[in-house]
Amino acid sequence: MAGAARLGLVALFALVCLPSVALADPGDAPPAWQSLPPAAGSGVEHPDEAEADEPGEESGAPLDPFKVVPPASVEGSLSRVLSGPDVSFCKAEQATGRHDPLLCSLSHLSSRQRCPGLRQACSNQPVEVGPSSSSGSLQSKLAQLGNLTFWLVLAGLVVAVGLALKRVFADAEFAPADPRKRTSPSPAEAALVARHVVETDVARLWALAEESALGARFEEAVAALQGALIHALRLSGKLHVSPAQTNGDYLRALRPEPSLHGPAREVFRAVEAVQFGGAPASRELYRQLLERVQPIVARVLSLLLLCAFGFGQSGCSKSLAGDPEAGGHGLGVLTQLLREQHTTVRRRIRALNVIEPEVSAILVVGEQPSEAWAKLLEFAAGGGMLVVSQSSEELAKATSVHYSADSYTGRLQVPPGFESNQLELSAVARHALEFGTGAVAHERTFALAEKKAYVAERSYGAGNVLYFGDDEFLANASLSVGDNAFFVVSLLRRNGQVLELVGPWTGGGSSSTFASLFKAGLGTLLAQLALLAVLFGWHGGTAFGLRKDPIAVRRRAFRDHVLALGENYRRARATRFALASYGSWLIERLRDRLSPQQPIGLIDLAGRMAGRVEQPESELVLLLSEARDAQDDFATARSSPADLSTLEKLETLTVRAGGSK
Amino acid sequence: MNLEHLSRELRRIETEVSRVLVGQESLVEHVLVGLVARGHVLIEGVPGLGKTLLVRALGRVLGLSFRRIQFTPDLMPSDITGSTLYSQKLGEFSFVPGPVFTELLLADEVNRAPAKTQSALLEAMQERSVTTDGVTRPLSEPFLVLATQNPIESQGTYPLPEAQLDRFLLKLEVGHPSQAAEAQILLNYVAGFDPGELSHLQQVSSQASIVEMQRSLGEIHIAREIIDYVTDIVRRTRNHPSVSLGASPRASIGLLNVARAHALWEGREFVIPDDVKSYAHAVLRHRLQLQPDAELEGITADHCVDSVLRDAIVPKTSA
Repeated sequence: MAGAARLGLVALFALVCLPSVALADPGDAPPAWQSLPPAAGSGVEHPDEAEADEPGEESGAPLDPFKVVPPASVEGSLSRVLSGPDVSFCKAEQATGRHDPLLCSLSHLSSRQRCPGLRQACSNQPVEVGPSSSSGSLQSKLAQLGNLTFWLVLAGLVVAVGLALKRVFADAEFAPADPRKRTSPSPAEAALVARHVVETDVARLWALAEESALGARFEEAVAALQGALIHALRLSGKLHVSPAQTNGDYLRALRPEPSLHGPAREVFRAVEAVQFGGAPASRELYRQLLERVQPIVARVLSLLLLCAFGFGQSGCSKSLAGDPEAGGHGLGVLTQLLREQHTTVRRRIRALNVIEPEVSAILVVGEQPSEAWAKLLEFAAGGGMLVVSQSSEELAKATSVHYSADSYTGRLQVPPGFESNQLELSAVARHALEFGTGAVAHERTFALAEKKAYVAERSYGAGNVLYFGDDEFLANASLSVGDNAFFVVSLLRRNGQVLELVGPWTGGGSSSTFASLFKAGLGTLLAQLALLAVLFGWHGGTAFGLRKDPIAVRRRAFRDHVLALGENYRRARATRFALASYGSWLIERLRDRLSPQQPIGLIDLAGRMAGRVEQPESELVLLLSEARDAQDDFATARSSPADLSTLEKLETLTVRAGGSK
Repeated sequence: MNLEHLSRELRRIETEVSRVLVGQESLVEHVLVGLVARGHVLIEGVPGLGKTLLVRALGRVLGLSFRRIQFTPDLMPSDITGSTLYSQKLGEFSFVPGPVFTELLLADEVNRAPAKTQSALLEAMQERSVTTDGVTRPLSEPFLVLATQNPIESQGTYPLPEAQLDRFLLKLEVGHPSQAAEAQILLNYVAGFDPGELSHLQQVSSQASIVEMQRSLGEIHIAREIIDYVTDIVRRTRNHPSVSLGASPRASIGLLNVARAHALWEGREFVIPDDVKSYAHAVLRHRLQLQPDAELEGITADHCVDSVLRDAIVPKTSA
């Protein structure tokens, strides 16, 4: 069972973390130098090594590139990629071709259109939903469910934290006001608490139980099982666990839930018999308890896994639902086809300052700053292959190749000289290539659009530059048509070498750490981990120190001490004595204050006090006389609570007369 | 010894007593546990909650003799213990036993008698014997004193000193019954229930059985951790800042005995921390002397025991 628990934790980790990384949106720019190997075990019929090591590539001679790659291999890869879950534009439900003239034009250019859904969408006809479409729909719904679950869990967490804070403050209010109750623990108590370190993690307790049972230490095993049960119930919010609580306290807390109360009571009784009753712990007892505890603990772990599923879905939902690379204009198909042809394709995040030696080709997507072009051209001049599909001033200046505006939709021609000149190539061409004058080592045109160069290669320094008339020719939708995929793969394939994609994501710095994290697609993952950390910390974390309230030092008034003393006198039945002693002292203080020069009698004292405190003189005379009488009869008279009342009045009077000092 | 059998018998006693004493099941349980633990019980509560009825019903159900003493300021020690009188018929002095020579004794409003009279009773409670004119006479076995006092009226009372209170094993605070229980009391009254007539109650136990229960306590197993837990609790009462005088070693022994008796009540052969914790208030509350300023601030002994139990670590806990 420990294995199951560990498996659960691993699954939890996988659900939480892996989807966020592995299924992260390619548009979110994965970490620099992320390199994924070709799909293992995909059943692709790769060309054998002898075929891969063609002499033309090694020697750099301008051989026919279309003789290297077997067409059947590319066709098989293409079918697999287009029917896979990561290509959305090919799915009838997700196809948006009817709103995209380019895609719709492509869909009608060739009879060999491998995305019927796209063609149907463009022709506005009802679409039959195939199994793969329903799968995509399910994924989309799962993604929505995942997102919903994530936000629900997040909201629940916020509410729970709020409630926990409220409980903390409520406890503080409930605690008796006596500050002395919260004094620091004595060293002996602190040592006792320090020794009291117990395991609170359910999975580890479970593993400990299994390990102890395997070692025939059944007493430890059943204790660990009980611990796992208690902490599983704590995790599910059924129990509040503290070292001062007994099993009986836990059972009382579980009373509202009979389904938990019964099994828990049996487990507690059995374990108590072992722990306190000296009953032997046997394998049979362990097995019986295991049967009781297992469903409860499994239920809690399932709950955690469900939460994790919510987190994980939130991490991958974007990839499932709206990956731009999976759309008609994306490069997902090209990337996968090249990978299946033994070419390592990776996005370049790092700046182009240093281009690694294992990179043999760079495909430039979109516009680049002039500094980048300088590096790219330097790379090409050094022997690399630069693939471009868009005009740029720097490129034109360096290579004398210009992109001119054009408008052609239809078949492309492969010029004579290539064995595969019967390839069925189709494009919606918007540009054509114009080569300037200048000496070049070699120059080849691979495809023509109405007799104008559309795909061509020209040497540059020790390397080459491969030009495509439009970047859309490399896009997913274009590759699904005719022999475009075979054509492009044949030109870009780099057997066992690296092809890098350079685009807007390359060399982009971030203004802050957080922006960098989010740009790298790690924001969601880190947020999930932080939430999980808070969750685990809240439920199962160990406090870093003893929680204690600050010691509020309150100055106690002298009057309180006197009252406490009076209370003691009352309990000792000596209030008369208290009145005699303290009363005479107060009378002397009053005399000192009201007649400091000469001693006066009680009548005169009452008269002066009456003028000061605005009370009838007769009342004051009675009060002073009572205090005076106590001095004479405290040994014989019976004490009564009235003595303390008299004393209190006298004390109040003294305060009103200006105090006893 | 069959603990389960004894436990069932205790439950039967409780059930039978609860037929007439409605809504006070906890009180009945505590008194029975005190009886089994060979202790005496001080019950604090306002009049009219059925304290006398409880003792009478217990006497009837247990088959024990029952006497009652109404404590008044003019009560003399000999009114409790008995005295030696001259018999003209026999022509000699003979001892006339006082009401203390019984098995169940209700000392009603024990704080209304002066200290000398209280001491006579308390000494008998402790020694379980009475000495008059140089002759020591043992009291009955079992011997249970249920003393009551009213927490409201303080005029004309002689509060029991803390040292004397220590002789009571348990101090129970009786509250008013719940609304449903009170309605049931009225229904019983309407149906003709007479508190003075308890002949319809069945005797479900006997003196010998109670004595056997008391003797069987010695066979209840106590783990070393439980002893540490008890001493930890009692020690903490001595170190508590609001307490000027904590519980004595007699309290530790009492708490241990009560825990054993409660284990017997549950039909268990061993004591668990719950037995200790659930009776800590009853055993300790009357043995703690609070600081005067703590009393002024309204802190009670129960608050202190609560605080102690919050801090004391339960043995072999999973937390």
